[in-house]
Amino acid sequence: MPGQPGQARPDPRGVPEVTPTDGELLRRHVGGDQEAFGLLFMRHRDRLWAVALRTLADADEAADALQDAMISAFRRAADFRGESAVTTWLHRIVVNACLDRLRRKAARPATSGMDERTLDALALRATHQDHAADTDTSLDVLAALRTLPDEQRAALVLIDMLGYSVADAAEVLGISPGTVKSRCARGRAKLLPRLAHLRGAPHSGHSAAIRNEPTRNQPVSPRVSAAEGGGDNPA
Amino acid sequence: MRGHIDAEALAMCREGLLGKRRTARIRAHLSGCSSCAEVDTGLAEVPSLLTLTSVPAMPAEFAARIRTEVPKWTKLICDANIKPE
Repeated sequence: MPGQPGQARPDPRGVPEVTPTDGELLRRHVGGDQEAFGLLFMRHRDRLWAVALRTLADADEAADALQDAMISAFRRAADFRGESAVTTWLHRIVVNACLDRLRRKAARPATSGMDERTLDALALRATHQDHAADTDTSLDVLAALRTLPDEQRAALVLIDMLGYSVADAAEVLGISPGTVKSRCARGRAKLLPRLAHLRGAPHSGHSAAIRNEPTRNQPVSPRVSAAEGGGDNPA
Repeated sequence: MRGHIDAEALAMCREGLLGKRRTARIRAHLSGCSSCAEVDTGLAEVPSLLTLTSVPAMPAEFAARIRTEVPKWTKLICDANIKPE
């Protein structure tokens, strides 16, 4: 603890104030702690949301996929073996939920009637649009991304939009680093004609919270942010 | 190398996914073909063009909803196990 050598800042009950690591939260959850999973979710919510929203390109689909993924992670927490960082594991579950949803959608193009969840999601979408403040440039980029095959888009969302390393993206997507690279390369080649008119456009610059700018030179790795060191507090 | 190189091959080359000989041929072509060199420069810029989008934070009400629902999941999952579909 910086500035306080020898003694950690005590909380009112005299217990040292320590931010639990992701791994610790997951262990507490498996051990029956009712709060732990919620804390873990809140810690990583923005990055998980960014991945789901950009992979699915739709706020209500993203909300449904993310909720399914969190229930799945909640249920399967005991299976987590610690070979990867907890965040990588969470991202993988979210990405799989998104890709499953896209596959199912492709197989069944007609949508069913409007249920409670859809209404919820519509409300959510309206809210999302309220504070998204997307510029024309941003909308052009999103429209171009939508034209890509899902698997290429998923790779580019992780690597180019969110700044993950190839190794981390490979782990999240469950494919080899070479496959990550070739999906990115194919995706970029397809995007170029649709994005060429944006070259030289000013950056929107209001995404620092999630991308941890500067993005390009210092990719944010889920392994680093998890690092068994606890969320936003790098060890 | 006759004609031009397609964008996908250029993008693969940038990622180091092509063999040594093909890579060398593409590099040689790029040094003498302004049209392909322009495409190649464009490809190098695609990653930064993708950061022109906003990456929004999770809407607070959605985060709150999940947070509220988490404690119910234990029961939900328990019930689901008792009554398999």
